[in-house]
Amino acid sequence: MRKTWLAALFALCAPLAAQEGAQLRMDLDHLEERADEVVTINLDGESLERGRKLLVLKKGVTEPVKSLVGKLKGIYLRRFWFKGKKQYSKEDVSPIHEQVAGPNWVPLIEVKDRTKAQSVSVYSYVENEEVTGVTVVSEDNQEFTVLNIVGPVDLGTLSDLGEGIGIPAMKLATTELPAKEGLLQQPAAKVSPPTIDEN
Amino acid sequence: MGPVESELRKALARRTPPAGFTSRLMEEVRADPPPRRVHWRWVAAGAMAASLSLGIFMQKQHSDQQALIEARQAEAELLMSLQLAGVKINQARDAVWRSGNRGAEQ
Repeated sequence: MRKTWLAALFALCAPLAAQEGAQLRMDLDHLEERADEVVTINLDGESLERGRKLLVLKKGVTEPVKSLVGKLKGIYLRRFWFKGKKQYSKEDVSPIHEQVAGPNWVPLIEVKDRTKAQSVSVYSYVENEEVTGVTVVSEDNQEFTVLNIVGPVDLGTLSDLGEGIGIPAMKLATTELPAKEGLLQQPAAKVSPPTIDEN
Repeated sequence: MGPVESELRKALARRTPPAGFTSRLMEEVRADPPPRRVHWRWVAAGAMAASLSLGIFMQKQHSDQQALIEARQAEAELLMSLQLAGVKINQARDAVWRSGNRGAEQ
């Protein structure tokens, strides 16, 4: 009888501890104490709805952006900046890496610059052959960022947004971030596919 | 005694009131409406209702303003997050292309 109760309790608790679909568990509280600057964003439910309503009403917002925003279910951002030497270890950020290494997560792009200890990885969460979430993990000595977007995401529209396309002219969020040198801090220039010289 | 004095004495002479004068007078006095009283209870109730309405209005204004502030913050966070995702995706994509170009050149 006791065993049955324990099994039932475990069955009830297990889904709570588990990751819910494309939403990651942001087990990074321990980094907050060490970081010099922390940005935390949790947008879902009512808060997301409020922001969405206002954004969609903005002049100049294109249809693809409206569509993207309209389908979102949640956005979760954790961004940590550290002054000086690297103040976090692989183990500190392993909860995130372990989750994106799990089932349904597909690595789309992984860029690593070992000389500068920088990396950017983009993962998509695929359910029934549909992308229902995207996670971006960016790391270097002075920064750790994980951005988890839940909902069907069009990467092309996201990419356009990164270049300021599809939204009214306004100060890009990234211009407010600390300027750093290196591969990953270069301005996102529009890159054309390589051309073939016929001569 | 002059005619004036005689007239005065006549006019001011003590007279017995007609019968039933006192009772009629008292009836009239009783029948007179009492002086109009200020209904402080109603004034207080009105003032309370007015201040309550004003309070509710102010509260509504405040909560509307608060909701707008929160909506603007959510909008900014939403936009910032999406742009950040876009910037990071572009950086990764550009790095992949650069690497591809380097490989092609070699």
